Amino acid sequence: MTTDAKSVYVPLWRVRLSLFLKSVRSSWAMFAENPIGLIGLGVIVFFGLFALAHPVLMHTDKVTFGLVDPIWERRVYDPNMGFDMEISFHPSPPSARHLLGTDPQGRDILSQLMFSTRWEFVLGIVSAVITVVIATSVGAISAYYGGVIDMILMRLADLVIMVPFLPILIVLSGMIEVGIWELTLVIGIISGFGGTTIVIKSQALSVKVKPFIEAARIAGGGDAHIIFKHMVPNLLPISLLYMMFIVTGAIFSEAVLSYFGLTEIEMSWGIMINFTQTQGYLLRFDTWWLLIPASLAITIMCAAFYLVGRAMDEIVNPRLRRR
Amino acid sequence: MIKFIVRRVVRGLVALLLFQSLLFALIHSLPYDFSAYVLTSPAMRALIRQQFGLDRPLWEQYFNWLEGFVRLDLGVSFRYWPTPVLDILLGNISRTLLLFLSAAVLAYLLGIWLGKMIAWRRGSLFELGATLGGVAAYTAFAPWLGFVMINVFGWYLHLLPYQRLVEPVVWYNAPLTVDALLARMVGTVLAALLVLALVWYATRRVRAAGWRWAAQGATLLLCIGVAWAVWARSGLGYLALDILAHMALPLGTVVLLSFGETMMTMRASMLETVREDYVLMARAKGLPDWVIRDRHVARNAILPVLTRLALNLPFVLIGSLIVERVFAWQAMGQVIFNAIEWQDIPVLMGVLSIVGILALVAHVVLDVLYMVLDPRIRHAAEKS
Repeated sequence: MTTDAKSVYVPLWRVRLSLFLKSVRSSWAMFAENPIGLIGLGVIVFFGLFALAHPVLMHTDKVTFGLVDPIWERRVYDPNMGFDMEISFHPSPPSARHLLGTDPQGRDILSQLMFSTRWEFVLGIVSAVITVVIATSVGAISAYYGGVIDMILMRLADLVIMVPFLPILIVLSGMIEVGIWELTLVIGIISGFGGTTIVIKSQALSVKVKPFIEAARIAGGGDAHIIFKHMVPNLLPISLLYMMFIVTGAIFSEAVLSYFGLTEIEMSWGIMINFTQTQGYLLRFDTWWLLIPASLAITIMCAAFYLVGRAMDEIVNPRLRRR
Repeated sequence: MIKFIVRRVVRGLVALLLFQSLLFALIHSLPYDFSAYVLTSPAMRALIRQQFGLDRPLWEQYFNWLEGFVRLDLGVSFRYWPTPVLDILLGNISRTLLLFLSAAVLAYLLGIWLGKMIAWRRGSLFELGATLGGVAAYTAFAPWLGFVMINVFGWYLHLLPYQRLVEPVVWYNAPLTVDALLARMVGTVLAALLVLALVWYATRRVRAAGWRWAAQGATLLLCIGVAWAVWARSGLGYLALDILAHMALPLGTVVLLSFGETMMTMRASMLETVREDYVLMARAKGLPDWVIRDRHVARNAILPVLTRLALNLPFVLIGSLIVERVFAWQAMGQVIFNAIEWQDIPVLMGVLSIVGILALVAHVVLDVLYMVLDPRIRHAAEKS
């Protein structure tokens, strides 16, 4: 082997990839030390599999090109339209046919639960991504330019933090039809201009004075280049952390609105509880399978994202690390 | 210091104006006709539009609305027609405030204490249990937590009433209204707290710990005894007990819902403060563990937690509104949801304005409190 410079040339992307993998590995080692974060991550993975299993169970025939009949017959197990005619009285308690029983209209609770899980993920993650994109760019721009832009954006953030936005959502949904995408968009945009922005901006202020920003400017980088190529990547860890908390908030808001019957979503955990209430089975322990699974799912999913966020906090924030 | 407070209040007022403008823009950009719900005949509709001033240009409506807001005239409710919105709100807001403020204070005290304890025993099973329990309660679906409380304490154990503000049978011949009695109860509690604070302030420099604790304990007992005697003599005690019993479950639910966040923030703040050099110094001096925890670490760790309180307040407010609805506890939460059912737009806008004002006042008060507590900020404010 020669030690010639040419022969040990490594392409840049491979260097970056190995650096990235290294940082992921060291972060994971720190994350894995904390049982709280692992519990949360385990729960999220469980819910992810839970959501994925629903289409597989419902459409086994399509997946296997018609070789196998669907495990869940669509006529019986459809989350919205299904009805089990072989059981004479609904709601029926958990049985081998319906693991979590049926609701007053003869629909399978487990199927509803799994179907809703998918939409909760979509709602939580999409609104968190919208929030993070807005908050990161607003925070970086506001820290980079300062002055009037900073003042306007920060006053706006003060305003958004100040006002509890669930009442506003309640009022909005009382007057217009709010489906799942409208809800996602509204939650994402409102929380994007709020508290997350302020935290990210304070982080951006400390990034802004680092030497590599000066170096980039001396090398002739424009404002947009510096903000999006040099500042934003350094803000991503903290943005990712706040994503977790926003997922919790989004799922909670959706559940509350649906529970009060203010959304136009066809099926979700909140709708299941709302349906239980409108059918008059709310305060009964003998029909527990109508209320408990959906409520526990909301609680556990929110808690899981919150716990992962708290565990990530200890990685992103070096002052919280163990000595 | 006064300059700082004035500047903060002015900033708050500007924010309030912005908020009102945004609210107006939001409501008027919706594809919703105010008159559509009220009357059906076109002629009557035109009349109602004219009477409510809905046919004028938008900017005129905007200034009318702002002017009305300054004069505290929030319009007239659609549902209870000639009743002004302000009357409906004023009749309900005191109870929401009571629930919201007492829940906030209790949740912060509980959260701060628990956060202190779990940070001190990091890595123990106690920490894992308290964290999981606190986070589960914090992220619990609020109405469901209410149902669980109702089921357990109201339905199966028959311990507490779980519906309505008061029991009508008990209040059949009551000599005064619920609100008047609530005001007296709050007055009693505040007076007792004031006396306690004064005694604590007067005795805090007493060297002998035994005497200090004896004086403070005696005052506490004295306060409870005097309050008990006064209420027993007034003959209203049974009404007060009825209110308290009806308030216990909603209050407990809101506290459970909101202490987790404070606990986690306090824990993180404690973990940061433990690394300071003066803590090492205190350990080297051989001070007892609890003295280091309570006097050296917790006191300094509490400041960042106070800032987070401001962010947390809206959450507590939302929690109390939802919980009021679940327990049918007649207050602002009921007003909001009834107004939505009846599409009562003036009431809704009034509620949102009031909620905005409440949040704003809380922010300004917290800012000022923070400045009073943190000498660094106080001196910076005085210098500028």
